[in-house]
Amino acid sequence: MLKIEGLVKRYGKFTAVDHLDMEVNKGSIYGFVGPNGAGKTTTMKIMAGLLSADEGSVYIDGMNVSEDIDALKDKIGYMPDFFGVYNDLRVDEYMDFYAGTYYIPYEQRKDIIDNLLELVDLKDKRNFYVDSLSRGMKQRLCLARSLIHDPEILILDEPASGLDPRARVEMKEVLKQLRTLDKTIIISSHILPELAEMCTEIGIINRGRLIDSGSVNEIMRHISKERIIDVKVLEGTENAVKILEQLPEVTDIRENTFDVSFGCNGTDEMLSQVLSKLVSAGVPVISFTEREGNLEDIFMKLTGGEEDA
Amino acid sequence: MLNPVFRKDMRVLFRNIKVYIGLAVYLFVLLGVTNLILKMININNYNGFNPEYIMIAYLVMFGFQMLTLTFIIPAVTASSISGERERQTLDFLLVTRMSGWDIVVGKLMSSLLLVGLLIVASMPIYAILFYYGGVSVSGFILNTVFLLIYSCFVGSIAVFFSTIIKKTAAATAVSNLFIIGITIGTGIAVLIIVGFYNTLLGAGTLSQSWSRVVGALCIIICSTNPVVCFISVVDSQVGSNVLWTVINDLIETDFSFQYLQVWHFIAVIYIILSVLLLKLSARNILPVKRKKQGKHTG
Ligand SMILES: Nc1ncnc2c1ncn2[C@@H]1O[C@H](COP(=O)(O)OP(=O)(O)OP(=O)(O)O)[C@@H](O)[C@H]1O
Ligand SMILES: [Mg+2]
Repeated sequence: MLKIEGLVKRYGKFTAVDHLDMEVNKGSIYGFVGPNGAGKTTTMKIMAGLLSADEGSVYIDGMNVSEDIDALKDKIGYMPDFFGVYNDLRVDEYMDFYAGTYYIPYEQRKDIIDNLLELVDLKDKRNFYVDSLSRGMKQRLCLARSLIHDPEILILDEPASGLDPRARVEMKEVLKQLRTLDKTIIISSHILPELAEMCTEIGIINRGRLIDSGSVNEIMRHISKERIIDVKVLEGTENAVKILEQLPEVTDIRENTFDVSFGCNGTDEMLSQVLSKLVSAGVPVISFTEREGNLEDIFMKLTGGEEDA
Repeated sequence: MLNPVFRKDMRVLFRNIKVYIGLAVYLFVLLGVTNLILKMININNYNGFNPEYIMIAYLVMFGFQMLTLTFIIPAVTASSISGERERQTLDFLLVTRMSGWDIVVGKLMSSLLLVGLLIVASMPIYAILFYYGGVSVSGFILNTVFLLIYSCFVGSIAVFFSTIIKKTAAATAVSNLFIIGITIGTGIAVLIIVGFYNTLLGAGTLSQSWSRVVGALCIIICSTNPVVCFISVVDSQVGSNVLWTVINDLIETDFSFQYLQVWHFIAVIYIILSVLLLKLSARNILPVKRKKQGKHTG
């Protein structure tokens, strides 16, 4: 559905997108995650035909965005991260205007607008002026607006940014409903957990490069090469720490009252050796378990690691 | 289907209380000006009326309207694209199926709508003059069409600067300066050409037969000049020949258009320039310049 090959975008000397490759399958909900300044907005603007790339190409349905954008406009729905609204319009007039910009015949507009306002839960606001809406409502209205021409692929740049927790939840509910519409959706965020539960695929971008991609589980597995082990002991955590410190394969030791955790960049065999060394040294181990990768941890690791490089 | 941008702007326009206030103020000023002129030419002291004086009053009003529109149009049009940019609504417009051309034409139509409103609203004042006689309704209609074409030209200039200048205030200022610039600039250009021609003529480098070419060149250059534009309207209304007389005096020839009046010619030039400016504007707002095959960066 969407394919990016060797995409480069520079602002002066600064490279915002650096040879990015990415692929989004038809019907998937793709979470595009990265910290602030990673290049998400830049990439998405290029996808939507709003910015030209310096190198590389974006293909949607096999068509190059920079060459066939006119043919692709019907297929792409785009919601920018920052946007404004026209103040002197009512909600339904606002939607009607954008229906017009896609040359949707007048007689079809009412049904389309009704359905979309229903979807984003703004039906009872249709006669309100747009500027009287709350931020969360405006954001949902813009989402509805980006769906006005029934696009096949939806590019949403941080649709939940700047919302309070309640509005975030409401937005999430709407986004979940989008899954039923059978569209390909690319949605960006700088918060991974926010996307994890609703996406089928995730791509992690940092400094303009895609550093990992796949299903949520796959990404977790990639990360868990660096394993975190929790060891519970009956007593004497200092003793356990002392032994662990002698082992070269063990990193990042943390001591609590009744347990110790450590990182290990090794195979199962290595882990079992670590365990037997602890036991043979007389440490009363109660449990020795690998921690389920916490997505936020993973993400911090994935993106934070390169910060020092 | 009606241009969606125009349709939306129209909706917003009629909802804006400032438009009605502005309209009222404009009419009030126009009425004051008319009244002043009528007083100055002392209309009531005549037995009956003097059609010539009515014509003068009409032309002064027309000139006043042209002058005010020259500054009102950039003020309302220079925000057309930059305003969308400032409001952060431009991206939403650019991803739609509307072409750059449709967008800028819609914007121009919106500002012409306001011009149209001003013209229609001032009709009753013109009616006073028609009542006294001396001005033909058909002449007035032609002048109004011309005024709309002129507005189109001024509006296109403002739209153009709105596409290349990010801030609305700056775009407005530059549009106004540009119009003042062509008013002064074309005048100076004509004087330079005439001076050059006369020098060459005196030195014997050029023969008298070039005078027609120079005359044509002068009229082409000054056709964009709003003052010349107004004089052409005066000429057509009073049957005078100020423009040709001035130019022919300057270059000592007897050049003139045989079949068409100067203001017709100017109208055609304005239409051509408006289309060109809008084409450029449409190109300017395209976010991704269509690359020609084989031209690679890197
Ligand atoms: N117009 C511009 N001129 C110069 N630099 C820019 C411009 N737009 C973006 N950048 C830079 O490019 C980098 C990527 O920006 P981008 O907006 O794509 O990041 P992002 O991932 O969307 O970040 P955020 O989470 O803050 O939205 C940033 O470092 C930013 O400063
Ligand atoms: Mg962003």
